[in-house]
Formats: sequence, C-alpha cells, structure tokens
Amino acid sequence: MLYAERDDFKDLIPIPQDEGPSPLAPINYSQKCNPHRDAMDMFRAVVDINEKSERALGLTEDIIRMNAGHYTVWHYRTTILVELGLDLQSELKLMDELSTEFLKSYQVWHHRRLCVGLLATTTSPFADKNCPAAVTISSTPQTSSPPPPLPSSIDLARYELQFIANLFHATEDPKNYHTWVYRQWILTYFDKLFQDQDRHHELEFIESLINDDIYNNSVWSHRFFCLFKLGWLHTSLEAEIEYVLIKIGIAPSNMSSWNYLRGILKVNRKGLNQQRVLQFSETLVKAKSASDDMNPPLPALEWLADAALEDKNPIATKHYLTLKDLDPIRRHYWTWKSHLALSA
Amino acid sequence: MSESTAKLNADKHVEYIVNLGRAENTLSYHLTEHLRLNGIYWAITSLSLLGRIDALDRSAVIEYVGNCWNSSNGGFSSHPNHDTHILSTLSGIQILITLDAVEEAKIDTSKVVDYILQLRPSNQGFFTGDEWGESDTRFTYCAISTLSLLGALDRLDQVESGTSIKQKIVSWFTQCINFDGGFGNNIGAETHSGQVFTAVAALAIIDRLDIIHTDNLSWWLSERQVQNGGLNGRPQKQEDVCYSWWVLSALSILHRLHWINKDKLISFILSAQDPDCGGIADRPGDVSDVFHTLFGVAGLSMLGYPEIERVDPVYCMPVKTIERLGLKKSYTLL
Repeated sequence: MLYAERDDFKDLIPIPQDEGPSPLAPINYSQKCNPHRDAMDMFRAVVDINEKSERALGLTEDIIRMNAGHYTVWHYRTTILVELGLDLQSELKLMDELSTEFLKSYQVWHHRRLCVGLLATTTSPFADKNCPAAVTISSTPQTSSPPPPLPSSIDLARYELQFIANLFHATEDPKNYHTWVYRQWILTYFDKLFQDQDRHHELEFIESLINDDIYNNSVWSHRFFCLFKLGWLHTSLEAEIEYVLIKIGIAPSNMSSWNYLRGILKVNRKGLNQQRVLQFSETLVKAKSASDDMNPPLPALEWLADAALEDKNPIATKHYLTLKDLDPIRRHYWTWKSHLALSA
Repeated sequence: MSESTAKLNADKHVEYIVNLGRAENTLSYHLTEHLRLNGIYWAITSLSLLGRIDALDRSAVIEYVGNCWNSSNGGFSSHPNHDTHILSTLSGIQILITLDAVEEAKIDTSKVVDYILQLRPSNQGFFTGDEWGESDTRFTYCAISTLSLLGALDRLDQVESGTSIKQKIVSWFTQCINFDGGFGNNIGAETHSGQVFTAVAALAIIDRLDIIHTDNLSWWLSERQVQNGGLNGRPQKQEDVCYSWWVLSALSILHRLHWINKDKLISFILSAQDPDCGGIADRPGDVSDVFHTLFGVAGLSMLGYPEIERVDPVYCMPVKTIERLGLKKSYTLL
C-alpha cells in the first residue's frame, strides 16, 4: 500500500519534490503508482516536521530498500536511531541483510561502520550472544575518529570478521572493494584487542581465499596489509618469499603474486637481486622456452630484466627486447626500458 | 568490430544526452536523484568536448544548479533541497565554471570555500564527503579541485599545530601509497585505477607529484590494458570504458600516456557505443549511460581522436576552460 493511503501516516500530507525550474522538463505528477516517489513524498513530509519516530525509521528502511544509494535518507535514519536511542544490535542485524543485498553501496558500509563504532564504545555489546542486551546510544556520531573500542567489544570485532567472510562466500564476490575496505577498518580499529588466535585466524582466512582464487588481487593486497601494515609477520622474510614462490609456481603469470613479491622486498629495503628469486625465475623461463609453443611467463622474464638493470648487467637489454616481442601491446614501455638498460 | 561502429557517432551521442533530460517519468530518473548534479556535469562536459555545449538550455542549467546551492552551509546538493555533499559541490562548481556562469548564478564562492574547508577533520590530511565523516581519496581530490577552481588553494597554507594543511594532505597521501606504487581509497586499501587518478590529480594541483613513484605507478597503470585494448581498474578485473578516463588521465599527468596502445583502446571505446540510441556503455553490448559517455569521450580526447575538444586530465574539464582560469598543469596528451 502506498504511504499516501496508509492509515498510520494519514496525519501527514506528502510533499512532492519541488523541482523548481529545471533544465530537464518538469516532472509529470500524474504518475501516481510510483512507490519510490510515494515514499519520498512522505519522507519529505516527515523531514519537514523533523519527526523522529519508529514509523519514520520504517519509512527510511523502505526507501533504502528501493534505493540504497540515497545518502540523505541514510543520514536521517542515523539521526532517528541516535535521538530515539534505539537498539543498535538490531540495526546491525538489519545491516547484515542489507549489506548482502546492496554489496556495492557506499552508504550501506558506511552506516555499518557508524553502528559498529557506536557499539564498540558502549558497555558490553554481545555480552550474551544468545540474548543480546539492547544497546542504545545517545551521543552524536563522530565517525572519522571514533574513540578506541572497549575491551569487551572484541566479540563484536570477531562477529564482523566472520560476517564478512560469510558474505564473500554467499555473494561469490571476494573482490568487492567496499567489503575489503571495511574489513581493513575493522582490523585497524580493533587491532589492539586482537590476540594471537585472531591473527592466526585472519591468516588462515587469507590462505583459504588464495587457494580459492590465486589471481584474486584483493587478497594479495590484504595479505600485505596484515603482514606489513599491521605488522603481523611472525616468520622470517625469507619464509614469506618461499611462500610466494610456491604460489607463483602454481600460476607463473600471476601479476598479483609477482607484485606482492616486489612489494615485500621493497618494504624491507631489498633489491630484486635475490639469489633465490633469480634462480626460480630462470628455471621458469627456461622450462617454458624449452617447450615448443609456450612463451615464458612474462613476469619471470621481467624480473630477470629488472634485476639485471639494477645490476647494470647488459643482458637486461636483450630481455626487454624479448618482452617487447612477447607483449606488443606495451611495446613502448619495453622499448623505453631497453633504452634505459642500454644507457645504464 | 563492424564498420558502422568504427567511427565516433557524435551526433547520436548529443541526441542521447539531450534526450536524457526528457526522461523524468522513468523510475530510474527518480532513483538517481542523489546523482543528478553529477549527471548534469557529465552531460555538460561531454557536450562541451563534442563541441555542442549549446545543445542544453544554458540558462535552465544555471538556474537548476543555483537551486542546488545551499546558501546557509555553502555546499551543493545533488538535487534541490537534498543534503549537500562534496561530490555534488565539485560538480556544481565545474558546471558553472564550464559555462562561465559563477556570477550569473549568484553563488557566494567564499561560502563554498568555507564549506569545503570544514569537511576536513581537525589535524587530518584528508577530507570527508559530508558532515558524516566518510573519508576517501576521492573526497580529498574533490576538495582540492574545488578550492583550486575557486582560486582558494592558498587556504591550504594555513598552519595548524605546527604544519600547514597542505603538508598534512601530502603526508596522508604518502601514507596511502601502496607496495605497487598505487593508491586505494584509504591507507592500506588495495590500489584501484579510479583512486589512483584522484591521488595523482590532487597531488598535481598542489604541485607535489614528487612523492609518487612515477615509473612504478605508470607501469602498473599500463598493465591495466587487456588484450582487446580496454582497460581494467585492478588486475584480473573486467575492462570498462570508464577506466579510459581514470587510467589515461593519471598516465597523462605522469607523462607516460604513450605506454598505452592507443589504436587498440580507441577501437575498444568505439565498440562500446550504442549505435541505435547513442551514448557509450561500460563495454560492448551493454546499455549506455552518461557517466560512461563522458569517460569514453574524454578518453578519446586524450588519445587525440579527431574533432573532439581537448580535455584537461587534472580537472576533467575542457582544456580551454582551465586555460582561461590560468590553472593549467604540466601533462602530455597524445
């Protein structure tokens, strides 16, 4: 039923959009059965009298379900939650559903972050997971730098990480940008609360995603984030290099793992001339070149070329010219590199 | 690719854009209210690059944009009476400047400048999208671009706790540089071509490209070109016409645009044109929209395609407009 016809809203008069003079011809309001416009007209009526109520909350949910990108409506929803001191646990449950449905909406993730930031700074969220106490809040949201989370909110953090893991699985979209940014926010925000088991769990999660799709650049980026931004590397750099080489062995042309390898050397202030990587790359290049119709994996040859250039070894030029033949779409880049090598 | 799509169908695209303004009764029109001012910017800029800016009613556009300006807080909303946002504020200013109509629209630009400046949380080097605090390299670009277009960049020289705002911005961007030389939307976030543009262009405006690892990043950007000539946003993702803007603009600012295979990319963009209704889609066979139309046309412009006005890769506005303002930065177009 349209809002304009609902008994529980009959005290309000819907306010149609005031188009004003528009470069785009005026809207024809004869089209009455547009549920989105009906809800928006009622939303304007609610905002007009600044009504913060349960029914207004329901109205915002309806509009969000029709149009999850409408940030004005999200904002109004947040102010209702805050001003009425409503239960944020149930809001989070609703976000579980909406994040799945509107995976690519900025607003849905931002709202989730607001809720989590508020919950994490409130006493005992998730104290009893089976019967969560209603958590209410009465302060104004300050999201760019919420205060540190309370120690008791560690379960909330774990819940969020598990939720995201499930979401990647359910939506079959483990490259979703918003979701990864959100996960990294959780890991950063709750970093001081995490224990070894949490860090171990995260690395297992990363490993499982790499095994699912070794070409998933987002996971490689996330691995770097955990090990080198958050500083969770607990093995030696050499062990991490070995790990990457094993993965490269499975998919020798995978730019994501090669970029990662370059990245971890760079962040540790090491050059490309690592004996172990050079041997590995040479083996890959030789093995492929020996077979009849197979090109050598380009990133392996590129590594040899860049390492030779770093060493001012003239063989670099030859490698770059080979790369130019094998990768003609980027021939200008390879030509430039070969000139660099010549003048080195 | 068939012969019929091998050329830019400029007249069709103009017709397509003009017709968008006549679609107010469709559901999708209502569902995109929150993007309306962005949409007009995409339309105006596309038409301008196609040499047909007169195809939309200039005074009606100015009046509409004026109605989106909130005189009390100084920002622009996407549609009259909506909440203001940094994205629509940049679009509003871009439209008015392209039409050379800032005064005509009776916008108090000092209020716009103040609106932008208060979107930076104190002591931080980034800007948020609105008062709700979503941080993103995109918003920081929007802030810097708007300030520059309004001639107010010197406001970033203001010192706060011992360092200038500009210095804080530079150090925030420095922290955002990833292991592959690129930028995500926040510190540590995966490198993404769209976010790379925002970082590179913002740093270009404040003359701090020196913090970028130029060759490393340019290599990553040229790696975005796939076999059919199109560009993707991240490794192993699908190609999309919009990256003809994000990737090319960044490469142009970094003077490495020639690392892209121009002919293959032109073919890809042209193959994504809708031969019947006009407009350009994200990729061949999909439905066209004004966002991809602009970024396809802008890509062609940077690649030197004939009969398209040159686009400025820093501001995504016509070069002649940016030159009129005296804001032109160093870059290379093909």
